Order: sequence, then structure tokens, then C-alpha cells
Amino acid sequence: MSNPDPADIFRIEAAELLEQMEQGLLDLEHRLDDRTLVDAVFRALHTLKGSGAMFGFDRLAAFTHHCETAFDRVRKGQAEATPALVSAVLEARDHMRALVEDPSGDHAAEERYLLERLQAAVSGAVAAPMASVADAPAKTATPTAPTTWRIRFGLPENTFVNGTNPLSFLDELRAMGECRVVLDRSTLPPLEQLDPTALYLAWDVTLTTDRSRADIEDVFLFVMDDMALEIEAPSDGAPLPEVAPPVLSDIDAPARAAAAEPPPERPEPEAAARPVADAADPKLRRKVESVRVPAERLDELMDRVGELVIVQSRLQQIAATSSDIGLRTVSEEMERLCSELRVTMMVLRMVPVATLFDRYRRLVHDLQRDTGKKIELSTDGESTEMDKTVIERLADPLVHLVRNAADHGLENGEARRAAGKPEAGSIRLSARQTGGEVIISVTDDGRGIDRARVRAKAEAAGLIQPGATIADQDLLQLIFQPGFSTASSVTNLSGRGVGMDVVKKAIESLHGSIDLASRPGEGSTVSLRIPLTLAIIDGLLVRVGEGRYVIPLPAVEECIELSQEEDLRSRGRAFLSLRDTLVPFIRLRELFATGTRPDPYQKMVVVSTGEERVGLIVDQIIGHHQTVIKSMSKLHDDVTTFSGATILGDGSVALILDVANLVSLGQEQEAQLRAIA
Amino acid sequence: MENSTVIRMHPNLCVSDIRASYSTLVEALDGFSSIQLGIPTDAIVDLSFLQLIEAARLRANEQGKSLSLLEPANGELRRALDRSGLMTAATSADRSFWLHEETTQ
Repeated sequence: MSNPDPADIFRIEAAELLEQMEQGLLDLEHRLDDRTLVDAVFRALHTLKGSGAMFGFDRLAAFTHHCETAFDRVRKGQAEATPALVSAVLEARDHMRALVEDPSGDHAAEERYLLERLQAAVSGAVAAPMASVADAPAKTATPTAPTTWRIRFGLPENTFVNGTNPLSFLDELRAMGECRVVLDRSTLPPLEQLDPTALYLAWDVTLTTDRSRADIEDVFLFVMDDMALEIEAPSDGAPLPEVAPPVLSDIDAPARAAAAEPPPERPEPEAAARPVADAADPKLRRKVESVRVPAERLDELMDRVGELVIVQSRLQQIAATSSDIGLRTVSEEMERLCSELRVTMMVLRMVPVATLFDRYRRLVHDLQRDTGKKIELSTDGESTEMDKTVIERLADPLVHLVRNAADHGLENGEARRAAGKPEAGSIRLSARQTGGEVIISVTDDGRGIDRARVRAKAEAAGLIQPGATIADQDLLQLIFQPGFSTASSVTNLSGRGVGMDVVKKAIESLHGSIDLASRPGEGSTVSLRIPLTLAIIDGLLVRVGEGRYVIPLPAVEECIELSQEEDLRSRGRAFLSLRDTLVPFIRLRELFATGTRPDPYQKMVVVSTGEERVGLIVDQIIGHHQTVIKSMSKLHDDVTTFSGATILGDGSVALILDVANLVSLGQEQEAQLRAIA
Repeated sequence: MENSTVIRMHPNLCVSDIRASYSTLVEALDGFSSIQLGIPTDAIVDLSFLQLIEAARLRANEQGKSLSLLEPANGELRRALDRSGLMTAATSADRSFWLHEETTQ
């Protein structure tokens, strides 16, 4: 496996830093005097600049430097964090991303504009003289008498890879006063164990300066969380040594034994002056809690697991027909391991929905600016986890939904006040898991969907007959029709009629569904039902006629036998009484036109999507099946009954039933029968 | 095993190319008893290279091999040595290796 390109490593790092920066800025917008947030944004800017320069992204480093300088002034109390500054740096952050993605592009005009904005924001943010004196942190106040500090530090092993240059810290310390820097090589591993891109060294620095401890700590501001740092003044403990100890014995001495002078002795460590080597000891370092893995490697691994599951299924079939006890045992063990591997793989691919929701804070920030409406975004259930691929594919549909909520759903401040609502509109993003699905909802407290306008638009577009009776839910669903928009004017946010049908298609491509609820004057909720994963699912393998099909197991509520008597009784209707509840059912044999005679003992598999249930009549229930989902070809895009296919152990193909579609079909059937009755 | 070799290092002696330098040094230490390193005067050097050379010195010393620089450290290499603090408490062996300074009795 080849080593990753350092520039690619930087791009990943930069993406994370930009994300941290954006979240910090968005928080800062609401808490302008929060020093922690100012520091966090500064750290992200500082690291991005340093790493960018180290990896050859000079333009990025130069541009970021301006924003870093602006935030440095805020940190030092020389300027105030203002909404204008936050807004300017947010825009600058977008430009930084462009510089990361396309460092050689023509960005000059954009840069000029952004720097002018930044300059204007900084000029307006200069703290009043009184305020600057009063608010300035103690560390920038009156210089104190010079103190001699002993600073011992070790940096994390991934320092180089993260683009941090340890020499720059030493340069900064030297700039503070009289400085004696001693390198500690004692934790250097043998050459054969050395990872040349990892840092193993540590430092012992004696610094005489009038700067404060906080100033010294600031040198390490953006690596502070991961490093070992001790700062001692003489009063803190042990007296400073006259001469810092040599930290590596004369390593060439044995080879020069005859001519060498006695190697300098290494002083015994004092209790109060623990050598930084201890702090930098790999055993004492913070344990590595995560490993960065490129997403495509996870995808490759997923594919391999998928193939393994298919082979295991084949082995299981062979073992089932064999009398070889050893083979059966191996097959059972293999099945267990495959199942565990699959679960582990699934967990690896899961990421919290928070990674998705966080993106919309910036969107809402921009929407407030563009619409002039006050909007409060709240989130719920961010810890709900979903497959990373699903999360990535949900990002764009959710942008449409949030934009629609802001643009169409929420009223302006005046209208809201007139309606007795708070001036700030609310958009709520929530996530929760139910069985094998996650339901993601976008709720606004706006005006709700105007049914009359939807109807008028639908009639004008020929989607429904004028005056036709149509159920409320069906009327609402019309907004997902291509080209449908109720907006009276086209804005750059929404209202072009291209949003909601794109949302629907995107959700359907994820084998999900959309529910829409809206109350006039109270707001709307769009709920997306999305399967947890698109890769491997637990399925129930059934036979209908000669064909085999997979029903996603999380949707299965129960299986019951349909006796011949009940089958005969139910002819002409499609309901079965199940514990005093009528459940519509679908004879899959008829739906698939198998042309075969029904099995004498048919089974009904009751499946549900939330509140709605439907029974699927099958000829035989074969059993549980770990189902590796394979996409259907584009030719089958319009086949709504199936959501994919899978390969069975004997190499044959089984189609995977689209439960949401079948439930909807069952409900339609029920509605028709009720209408006839 | 051959006796000695001279290795001319690449001018990029930074973390971005450090794996190549590492392989070169390991191969040399495996194959020769005496290795001289030629470091270009215009080489770009960072701390990862100093760290690598220090680890290589340890290995050479343990195996009784000779590892030395063709020229005393100068240019960027010398600056990196000073900035890193490696020379502050340097032993005679350090000074001999990096700066070709001989011990006076």
C-alpha cells in the first residue's frame, strides 16, 4: 500500500481545521465575548497557516495570516469580536477552502475583496482605549521583572505529519528573551523501530524573560491539548541548574574509546525537576484514540466483507447438504465470524448525524443574511449514527429542505409578530433511530403549506383535475412533483421548483421515503426515513413461485401462516384480521405474475414502515439471510417494487423488496377497497 | 560486506521525503561498515532529518560501524542544528560528527 501524498494528508487536516473554524465562528456570533471561542478560532487559523506553509500551500498561508492577525488582536484585547468580523472571517474561511482545493487558481480578485472586508471589520472592531485597558488580559499588561523559567516539553508523535514545525516554537521562545535550548534525544528509538515521520524528541529550555507564564503557554497554544508541557519558575520548585544537563551520552564513545575523553555524566533526575524525557516517554504519552483512514479504504473493506458474506453463504449451503461434521462446524464458525465482522464493519462506517447537522449552522447564518429573517436553528438527536455514505448523500437534500423552510416556510419578522409568534423563526433538525431506519426531520414554525395555492398550481400544471377530490396527504405530496413550486417569486435560495423533486429522488435513491406534515399557521415538518446502511442488511429470504426474494428484516413485524381456509375466505378482498386489526395484504405471487400454483401452506410476512403495515403473502419462508446489497441497473430505475438485488450462496440472484413501496401499495389498495365499500 | 560507501543525500531532507532518506540510510548501514554522508550545501533540512541522523548514529555505534559527514554541517543543516538545541549541550562526539571539531586534550 503506497504512502499517502503529504498534500492529501494536509487537505484532510485542513478540512477539519476549516470545519472547527466555522463551528467556532458560528458559536462566537452568539457569544462575542467568549474568550475560549476566540482562542479556538485563532488556533485553527494559526494551525492552518503553519501547516499550509509547511506543505507548500503558500498562498493559503499568506491569506490565512491576515485573519490570524485579526484574531490575534482580539485575543490580546486590542480589538473586539464583532458580528462584522465574524462574518468577514466566515467568508474568508470559504476562500481558504478554495485555496486548499485549488491552490494555483486565479483568486486575486476574491482575495482583494475579502481582505478589504476584513480590514473594514477590523477597523470597526478596534477596542476603545478604555476598554482595551480594562479588558486586556493580564498577560499583556505592564511588563514584569525578568524571571527565569524552565520549560520542558515533548510534542505528540504526529507533529510532523500534522504540519507543525517544532523549531518554530523554539524560535518564538528565543524571541521572548535570553534562551538556552537543549535537545533531549533520550527517547529516540532504535533506527529499525523509528518511524521517520514521527517525532520522538523533547526539549529542556531555560528562558529569562519579562513575559508571563501565559505568554509562554501561548507559544504552544494550538498543540497544548496533545503535548507534555512543564513550565517552572525558580519559586515553583527545584533551583535551575547552572548548566543544563547533556541529554544524550556520548553515543560515539565506544567506537572512539581509545581517544575519547570521559563522556559527560548525566545528572540524576531530581524529584522536583522530572526530566521531560518522562513526559515524552511513549508509555506516558496520551494513547492514540483514533486512526485516520481514507474513506475509500473503508469502502474497499466493505466490498471485501460483502464478498466474504456471499462466499460464507455458499459454504453454508454446501455444508447443509453434507454429512461431514467437520465441514459443518467450520461453516457454523465461519457464519458466526462473518456476522461479527459485518457488525464491526458497520460500526466502522457509522458516523454521528452531528457531522451532518453542523453543516447547516453556516447555511442558516447565510440564509439570515440573504432573507433578512431572524432564524434560530436547533438540533436534536445528533448522536444518532448512520452509515457515512448515507450521511454524505443526505447533505444536499437537507440543504434544499432547510432553504425551503427559511425561504417559503418562515414568515418575515413583521408577519410573525402580527401572528403572535416570536420574531425569530425556528428551524429544527432532528434525528432518531427506529429499527433499521433513521428518521431525519426538518421542522419550521412558519406559515405552513398553503393548500389552496398548491391546488391551484397543481391544477394549472395539469397534475390534478380542477375541483378533483384529493386527500390532504396526496395534495401535499404534489410539491415533490418535478417543476412544482408555490413561490410567487423566484429567489436565489429556492422557488425555482427544482428543489423538492430533487430531494425526493435523492431520498428514494437511498431507499428512503419522505413524509410531509403541515398545519396552516403553525409550520411544517418534512421527515426523511432513511435506512441505516446501504451496504449489508439482515434480510428474510422468502420464496414466491420459483423465485427467491429478500425482505429487509428490520421491517418485518411477524410471520404467520395463511391456512387454505383463510386464503379461500379472503378471496375477493385483501384484508386479514390480525388481533382485531385489519391488515391489508398483497399476494406477491399475483403481483409478480409467477404463473405458479400457491403453496398449500402460504405464509404472511407482516411488514411496516412506522405506523403503516401490510402483509406480504409468500409461498415459503426460507430464513434469515445476510444480504449484501447490489444496485440494480439504470434500466430498472422505474421498477419500484425492488430496491436492489443480492447474490445467494448458490450464485443465484434474489431481488430485495422495497418495503416502503409495498406498504404504500397496500395502503392504496386498502383506500380503494374502502372507497368501493 | 563491503567496506565503505559515500552516499550523496537528496537536497530535500524534510519530512515530506524523509522516508526515502530513511531507506537509504538503513540500506547503507546494512551493507557497509563505513558510511560517509554527503549533504548538499543547499539542502533543505528540518528536524525529522536531524532525528533520523541521530538514530542512525546510535545504530552505527551499536554495530561498531563508522558513520560520518563528508563535510562539516553548514547552511540550512547548521541552522537547523542550532535552532533545535542539539549543539547546546553537545558532547565531543556530537561536535566531531556534526562540525568535524576534534577534541583537544
